[in-house]
Amino acid sequence: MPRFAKKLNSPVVHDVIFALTGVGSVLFLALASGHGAPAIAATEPPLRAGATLLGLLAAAVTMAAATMRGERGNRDEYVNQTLARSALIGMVALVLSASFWEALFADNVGPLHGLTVVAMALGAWSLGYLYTRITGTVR
Amino acid sequence: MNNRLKVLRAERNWSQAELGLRLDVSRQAVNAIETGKHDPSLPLAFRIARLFNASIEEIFNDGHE
Repeated sequence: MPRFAKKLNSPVVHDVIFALTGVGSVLFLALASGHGAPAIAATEPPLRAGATLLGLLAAAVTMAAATMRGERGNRDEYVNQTLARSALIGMVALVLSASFWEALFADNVGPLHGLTVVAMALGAWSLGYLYTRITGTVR
Repeated sequence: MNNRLKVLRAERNWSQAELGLRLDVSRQAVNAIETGKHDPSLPLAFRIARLFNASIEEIFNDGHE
C-alpha cells in the first residue's frame, strides 16, 4: 500500500473527518432546519419526477459502488469494517428518525426537506462512527 | 474472540505501531484486535500466524474446543 494513501486512509484521518462532519451536521440541524420547507412547485407529473429520482438514485449507487471498489484496497480492514458498520447504524437511525418525525411531528412542525435529511444522514453516520470506534466492530 | 496477540507482541518488544507496520495495518487495528474489539479477517489472521510462526488456533481462541 503506498505510504501516502495509507496515511490518508488511517483511522485518525477518518476520526477527524467524522468529527467535523458530525459537528457540521449538528450545527446545520440546529441553525437551518427551523426554516420551513419551501412550497412544492407542481410542475412535474409525479411519474416523471419519480422516474427522474430513480434514475438519479441508480446513477448515484453505481458511482458510489465504483468509488468504494477502488477505495477498499487503500484502507485497512478495521477502517473498512468501522465505516461499513457505522454506515449501517446511521442508515437505520435515519430511517427510524425520519419515520418517527413523519408520524409524530410533520403535521405540526412541518415535513423534513432535502438538505435537512442530508444533514441527518451525515450526523447519524458520524454518531454511528463514534459508537463503533468506542465499542468496536464485533459487538 | 480471545487472542494472544498482546503477549506475543510483548515477547518481541514490538510496539503496536511496529506490529501494524509488519502486518500492513494501522496501529488502531492492532489495538482493536488486542482488546477484542475487532476480529481480523481470515487473510489477516493468516498473516499474523505466519509472522509469529504459529497456527491461527495457537493465537486465536473462539471459546469452542
